[in-house]
Amino acid sequence: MHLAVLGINHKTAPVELREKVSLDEEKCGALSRRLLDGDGALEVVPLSTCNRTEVYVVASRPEAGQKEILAALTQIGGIPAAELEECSYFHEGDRAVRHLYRVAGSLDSMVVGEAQIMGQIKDAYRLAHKQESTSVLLNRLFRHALEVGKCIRTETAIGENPVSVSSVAVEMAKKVFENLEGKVVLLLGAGKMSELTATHLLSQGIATIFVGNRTLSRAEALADKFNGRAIPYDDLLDYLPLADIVISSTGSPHYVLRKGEVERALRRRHNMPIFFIDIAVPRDIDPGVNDVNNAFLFDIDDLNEMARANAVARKKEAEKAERIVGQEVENFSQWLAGLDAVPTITALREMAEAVKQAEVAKALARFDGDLSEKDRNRIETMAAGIVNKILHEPTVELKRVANERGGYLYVESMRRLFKLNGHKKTETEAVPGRRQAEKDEH
Amino acid sequence: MVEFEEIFFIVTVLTYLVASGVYIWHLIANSKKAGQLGTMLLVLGLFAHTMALIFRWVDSGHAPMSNSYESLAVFSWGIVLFYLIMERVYSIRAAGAVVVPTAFIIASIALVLNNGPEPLVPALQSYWLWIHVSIAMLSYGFFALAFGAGFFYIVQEHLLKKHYQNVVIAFVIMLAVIGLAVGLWLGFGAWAHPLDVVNPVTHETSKQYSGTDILKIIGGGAIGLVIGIAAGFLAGKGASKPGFAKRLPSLDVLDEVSYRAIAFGFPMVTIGIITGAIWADKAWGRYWSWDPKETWSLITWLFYGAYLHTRLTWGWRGRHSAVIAVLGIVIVLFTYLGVNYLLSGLHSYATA
Repeated sequence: MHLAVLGINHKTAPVELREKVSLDEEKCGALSRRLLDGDGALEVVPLSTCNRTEVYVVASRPEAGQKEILAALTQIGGIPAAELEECSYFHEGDRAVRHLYRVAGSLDSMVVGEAQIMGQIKDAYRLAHKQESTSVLLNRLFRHALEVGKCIRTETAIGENPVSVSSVAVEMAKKVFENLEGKVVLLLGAGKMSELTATHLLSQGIATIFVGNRTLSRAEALADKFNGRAIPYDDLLDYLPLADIVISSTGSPHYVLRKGEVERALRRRHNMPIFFIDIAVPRDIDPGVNDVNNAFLFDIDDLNEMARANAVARKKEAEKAERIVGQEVENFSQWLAGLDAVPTITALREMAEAVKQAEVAKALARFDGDLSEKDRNRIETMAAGIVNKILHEPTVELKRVANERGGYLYVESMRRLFKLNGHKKTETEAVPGRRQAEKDEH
Repeated sequence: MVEFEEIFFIVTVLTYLVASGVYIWHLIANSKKAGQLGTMLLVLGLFAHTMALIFRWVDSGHAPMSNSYESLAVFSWGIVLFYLIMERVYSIRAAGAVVVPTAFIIASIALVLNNGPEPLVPALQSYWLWIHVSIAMLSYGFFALAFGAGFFYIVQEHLLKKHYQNVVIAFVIMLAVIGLAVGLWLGFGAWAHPLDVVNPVTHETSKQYSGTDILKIIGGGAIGLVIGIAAGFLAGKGASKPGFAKRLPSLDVLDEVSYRAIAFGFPMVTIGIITGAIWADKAWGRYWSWDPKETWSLITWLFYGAYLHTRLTWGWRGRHSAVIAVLGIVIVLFTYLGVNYLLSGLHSYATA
């Protein structure tokens, strides 16, 4: 049995192509059916997000799945096979396991450390499970992958430090105000960055956005977008005391807000803090404002520098995560190796041989040398015959089913029933979290 | 029994020492495992501490509140218990890096001062001992919490103003001052043994510090200073790393905690002073005799009153309030300990 993955992601394929082979629930089902009905695939899990479309398969022959998956995706996307093949990657065995673990740990994401991928993997697996396209191997692989992803999130700080300017701004605002719910935002000027930051703040549950702009119509348009209120630009200072957060990005050549004005506003709001984000170049807010008690000013350079430092830190954490992935791949492949039919049969035979020899020796000792060489041979032949006859059917059957869907179940049963794990690491040790996986199954 | 108590208390102090290191490491290196280990150690220490106090109580036959050792032991016990509850509720492990070493220092001073159980001085043989001392201790606990929150407010505010860049110097200065203060205090309270000298004319006793005593005090200060600078350097480096911001609570929360703690502590200290006055009337026949302890209690009361006043009527908040909360603990410590050592008065049995 061979584990493999074929897919395209944000690194290998442009968004136009990814869109075409993006799979919804129905398409996932159709794809899995097609692969399972065809030759080779025994288990299938399709994973489709906006940044990737991947198909994990267990096949009976090496490279068995590759052509079929390509063909299926080509058909769904309505694109030339050559184009898809050029953009796709295909991993087998340990490399496929490593790939999934890296995806789960969001090491393969566009923004390394983002948190959504875990949920997406979980959904993809659940769907495949519901559509009955998975069995022993992919069940275990995906459950283990989710554990690896979780482990990376808890053991490393990979998702902790924001790496975009707008999310750094939100993070800092949250260090002044514990909670942004019900806060009032004053947005001055318009620009892509300030809109992005405002959107980010909106998702944190802020109450109101006041929008001020030189041209009132522009302010109104923006206010509509954020469900806020446009204010006359000249009344700016009247609204300042109401604002908890001020985002400024006007095209003004000089300061829009000065120290004295901020001091007055703070007095009027009984020293409740104001958080200023100055995204404009040249700057809109007098840098002296940062010296005012209870006023906190971050300009674009500050935010950029923090985002950069966070990205460096995240890279370091990613290295830690890669080490975790490496270790877990090792664990999984050990478990997998234990489920191979051939070593299991060998182990079974060795065990039977040992029992046979011990019992024959015991029996011969009882005759106390009364037996002729011929008699001894007869006894030994008989014992060997019994062992071979008994083991014949299970051996043949195991070899046959091992390459079928779910065949690992038999190998595992065999190992367990005959206690063939003695000299090896038991699989419970080999795959951490296995107990968790079992609990889920019940 | 006495041996049990001592063994438990030594275990307590050692556990707090290790826990302090682990908590500081947790804050600087952002290691979750260190945080969990710290909590575990602290719970263990608290258990030993509780056992020590129980043995002491059983042994002496009265609540362990009659001398410096006992009150310090109870005080540090209260700090740790209170902190563990706070940690459970608010998940503010970062604060442990300050609170736990504080508890360690107080407990180790108690260990040095321990003279074994003694019978109660007649002046203390009253149920007012219970009421007065436990209420005063509780108010000190609240003020200590206000100090911790205010301290972290100043740190977090500084970091935010500096955008988390170039903050090493500030940490070095801050921890150097703290180290110096703690070192001097240790030298003064624990290592130096001044002689009591009785003035033949006035029959007043005063303390005489020998050359070695002064050396010990200066040495304590120097050691504290060096440790403070080193710790400040490490902490500053740690704080410059991304992610440190996450581990400190927000200004909003720190300001709120500090304010709430003082809002609870102030009425408590008020009641403490009133019960003290009633007790004084029973024991010495006067409600108020301006002995140093009483005077300094009044100063403490006025100081925290000022905190609440500036906040409620002048609208002070944030850094100004945090500075008052931090300075307040110095006055509390002086009232609580300094008075006993530096000034003599009716409360001076507490040095025994």
